Parts: sequence; structure tokens; C-alpha cells
Amino acid sequence: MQNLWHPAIFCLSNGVANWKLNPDRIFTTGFIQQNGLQSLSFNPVADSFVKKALVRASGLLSRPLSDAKCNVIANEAQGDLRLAMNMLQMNAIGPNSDRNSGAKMVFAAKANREETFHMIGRILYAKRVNPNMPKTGRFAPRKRKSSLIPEPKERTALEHDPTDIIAMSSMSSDKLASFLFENEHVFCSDISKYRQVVENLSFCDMLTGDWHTKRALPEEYVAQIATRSVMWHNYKGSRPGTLYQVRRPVINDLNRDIEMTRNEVRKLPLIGSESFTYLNAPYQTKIEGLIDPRRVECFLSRSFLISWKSGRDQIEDQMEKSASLRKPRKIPKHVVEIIEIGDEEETWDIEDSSDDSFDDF
Amino acid sequence: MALWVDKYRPKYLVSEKNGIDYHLAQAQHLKFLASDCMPHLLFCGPSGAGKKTRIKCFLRELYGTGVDKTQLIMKPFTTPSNRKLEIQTVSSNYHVEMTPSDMGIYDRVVVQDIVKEMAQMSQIDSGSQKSFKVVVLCEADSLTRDAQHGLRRTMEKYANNCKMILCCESLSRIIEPLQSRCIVINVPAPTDDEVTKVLRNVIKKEEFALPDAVLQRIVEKAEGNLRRAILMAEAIRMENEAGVSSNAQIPVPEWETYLQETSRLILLKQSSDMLLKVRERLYEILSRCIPPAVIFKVISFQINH
Repeated sequence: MQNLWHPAIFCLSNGVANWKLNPDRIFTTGFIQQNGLQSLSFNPVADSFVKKALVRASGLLSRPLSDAKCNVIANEAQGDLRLAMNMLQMNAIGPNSDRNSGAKMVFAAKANREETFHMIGRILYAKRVNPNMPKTGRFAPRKRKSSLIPEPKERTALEHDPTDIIAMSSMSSDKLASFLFENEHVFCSDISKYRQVVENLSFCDMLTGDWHTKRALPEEYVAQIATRSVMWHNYKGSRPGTLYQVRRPVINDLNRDIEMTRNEVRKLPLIGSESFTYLNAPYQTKIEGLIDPRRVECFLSRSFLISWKSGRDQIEDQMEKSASLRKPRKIPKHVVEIIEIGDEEETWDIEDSSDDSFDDF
Repeated sequence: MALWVDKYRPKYLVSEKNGIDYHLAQAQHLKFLASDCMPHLLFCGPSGAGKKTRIKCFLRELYGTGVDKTQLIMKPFTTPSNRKLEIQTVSSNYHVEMTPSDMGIYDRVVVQDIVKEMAQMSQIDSGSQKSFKVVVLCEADSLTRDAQHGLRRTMEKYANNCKMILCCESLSRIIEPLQSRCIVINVPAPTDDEVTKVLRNVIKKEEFALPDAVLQRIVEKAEGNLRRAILMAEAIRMENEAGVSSNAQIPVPEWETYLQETSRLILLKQSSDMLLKVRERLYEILSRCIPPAVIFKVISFQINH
């Protein structure tokens, strides 16, 4: 390289799709320093610019796509303009006329998402190299499919490097850790091993939550701890015989729900009532006989038969149903009922006035 | 209809009528502090011990009944990332009450901007009344360390204009420099006898009969939390309108029974399936905004007993 007369330019992508030619993989730091390579990196295109390009391109079509659809494409493209254009083309043509504005959408970015789940699977299955596995070669004797290959008796090297897996998953550390937490219990049947994994995952959670640590540590650090801990402890675990579906972490939805309820509580005229959610609200519901599901006190003290997973609207519906089945509370003897006689509903008519008398003031 | 906990809340530090019922020596000290040059105060004690009641009585002692005329004001502020947020405050002419920890990691901005701004403003007509005003910060132990450090300077610089009253449950989560700038008023939970005495007073004022056996069970269940004891007494009254029998059930929140069942499951079998089941149950409780600290406390108590 140093003896080259003309400058050499390498144009490589560090995307997941071309992992084999990833510059982070093929050019070591030593190689870069030794040959005096200068690297210019390009960031993904901002969503707003992708959207702008999409709207412009869509405008040139005979039947432009709706604005909402352009927004969805821009989000899905994740900064890849070429991908965005391909998706635009996919959605603009075809026999279905409702593609331009309808709810149906053809995504071209599906491969990337599958890649992510594939990587999570690699971490959870934590496959190790089996030296007893016959080498597949031209002259190797063919083995019958039904014959079992003996498992190695000691812990061998991992089939895939954890660092590579993390890079290929293209996930943030906290997201990766929450995915592992959601699915680990299936892959780690030994409860003592699971305890150790969860301990490490909670350590990761603490690191990602703490402001100072989050800024001080490299982005990948937490993901490395989580991945290596899971891969180490999943050795000889009871792996499911068939492929297991990787579940999305529910903790994010739960956090969103909790935050929503907390915001509602904050709107009440309460200052520093720490015990409101666990003490005041349940007792207040009992004392005042509250049955309105829109009241936050009622919502907080709802029956445990109504799961949070059904969503806010469903919960309110179920609460309304159970409230209608409940008998109305009798008015206690010591409470004097005030009945207003002749309380007719008053109606107000607002007449349009031609002269603006307020101007005089 | 006000809850009994609010209706029968004491109004004065030391008084025959509507005075504080227990920790009377401490109340005398507070009265003395109110008449003297008031320092920054840090009220610390478990939930339902009477911290807020004492703070309110103390403020009334300082400024008179004017502190009862409060209004709810939303104070807007902008975060360094240009996010516009609002914090709820309750304020009278003499004091402001707020919970900066409600704003999460932005509590530092609240402390540095809003509290500082309030501290900078002088009291109107300081000749005829106290020369300072009071800022009450609730749940001070939930403040981030940054916010607590931010508070140090404000407390020192504007000490003549503005006095701080911090309210917290755990002193260990308050940084040392902040503790040393305040006089710590420890409010321990009332004893069972004190809770019984207060409950008897409330029952007498409400003119209803509560058998001694039920009263005893309420006191035991309350575990030194007076708020809880009064709420339980009111709930039992509402559930038994015809009259409370001596074997009446003490109403407990549903989440407590649910947690008891969860603890039983934990002890029953330690397997991956059970782990998943327990996790789902914990999510269910968390979705009702029950604080994790309370969940931990109840579960660990149940498991150990």
C-alpha cells in the first residue's frame, strides 16, 4: 500500500447485509495506522430528508402516494435512501389500487429485522463448536442423517463470536438486554444459572439507567456483558428441540403504561403524596364507592382479573361491565340526602350580536 | 366529602383542640424554632408518621392561617434539550410546595431554575411579618444527586430570603452536605397506643361504635402507619353501615392479597415456569403503580414469615 503511486480508495458499507466486507472487520487499527488510511464515514440520511426525497419522487408519479404512507416508508428505511426508493416503487405499482393511500404496505426492509432476531437466537442458543461433527468435504464419507453426533464432554469454543453477533444485531445495548431478559428463561432451565444471568442483566440495567455510567462507558460495553453472560450460562442448557419463537420484551409497553398512569396521577392536586397509589387510591375507591373507570383512583385499584396487557380501552370496558353488575351503594343513614326540587335543566341561548359592545370598553 | 385523614388532621403544633396528638416534646421544639430564627429543616420518617402534618402546623405557626389559602399553579420550565415541561406547585402568599422528583432526571433544572427564582424574590412587606418565605420540597430522597448538589448553593446563598423544608422517608438517600445544612427532624412512626388513642378520638367525633377487638386488629394491621389506620377505620365503617360486629373483616387493598399469593408461589416451586408466572404477576402489580420498594418489602416479609 505504501509503495502505491496512485491513491487507493475503498468504498465499503458497514451495514449488516455485507458483513463479510465490513471495514470494521477487515481493516484492523494497526493496518489503518501503518498505511496512513484516512476514513470518511457517512451517516444514514436523516428521516426528514428521506421524507423530502420521497415526497418529491412520489410527486413525479402518475398517482402520488399519501403523506402518511411516505412517512411510514421514511421510518422503515432507517436512513437508507436507496431502500426508501425501492419501497416507494414497490408501493406505487401493482394491480392493487389501494396501495397508494390504503393501510396495506409492502416493506422491503424485512430482511434486516429478521437478521436481528436471528442474532438474538444465536445468543440464546449459544451453539458451540462440536469437534465430533464430520467435516463436509468432497471425499469425506457421507453419514446417515439418522445417526446421532456425540456432544463434546467439555466446554468448547463458541461457534460465533459475541462481538460479531452484537454488531450484526444492530441493536442498542438496553434493547438487546431486554430481549435477552424476556426470552432467557426458556433457554436456561437451571434456576441457579438463571439467577446468575439475571443478576448480570440487572447490573446491565443499572449501567444503562445511570446517567454518568451511560456516558462514560462505550456503547457496546453493556451489550457485551449481557451477551457473554447469556452465552456462558446457556451451555448445556435444555434447549428446546424445535425452533423457539423469540418474544418481544413487554417491559417497554409496561413502562409506557405506568408512565401514562403516573402522568394522570400528577394532574391531581396532590403534592408529595407518596402513598397515593398504593394506599389512598384503593381505600378511597372503597370509601367513596367509586365505579367510574376514568377516575384514576378506580383505575389503580381495579381487579387483578383485568390484566394490563389488554390495553387501556379494553380495561375501561371491562371495568364498566363489572361496575354495571355491581349493586349501587346504599346511602348510609348518617349521610343526609339533599334532593333539589324543581331542578329543571336550564338552557342557554347565545344570540349573535351585530354590534360589538365590548369595543366601548 | 373529605376523607377522615384530611378532616381530622391536626392544625396546630401545641393546642388543646386540634393540636398534634403525639411526639409532643418535639412539637414544643418546633414551636420554639418557629418563633426563633428559623433554619432549614429536613423532616424524615416513615410513611403515615405525620411529617406533612407537622410541616403544615409549623407553617401555620410561622405565618398564621394565611398559609391555608393555597392555590395550584403549574410552573413551566425549559430543559437544556429545549423540552418544555410543567411542574405542579401549591403555593400561598408565604410558601411554595412542590415535588421536583416528579420531573425525573430534569429535577436538577427545577431546583436550579424554579427554586432559585423563588428564593431570589423577597417577601412583600417583610417589616410586618417574617422576612423570609418557605419552599417545601417533598420526596427529597427521590431527588437525583445532581439536583441535591444543585440545591446546596441555593440554600446557602439565599438563606436570608428563603428557607427550605425538605421532606423524606429515608435519610440515607440525602447527600451529607445537604443533611449538614439542615436541622434534621426525625418523625418516628406512632406507637400502637398512640394510634389507638387517635383512632378513638376520630371514632368519638364521628359518633359510631367500633368494637375493641376490631380496633385492636386495625392497629396491628396498620403497622405504625396512622394514615392507613384511619383509612381502614373509615372503610370498615362504609362497608358495615348497619354497625360493625366484633368479627368484621378488616378491608385490605387487593394488591396486598395478590402479593401474598405471589410470595406463596415463589416458595412453592422454583422452576422456570414458576419464574415466568411470578414475573407476570409482578408486572401486573407494577402496572398499578405500586412502588417497587413497597413490593420488595411485602414480598421479603412474606417469604421470611
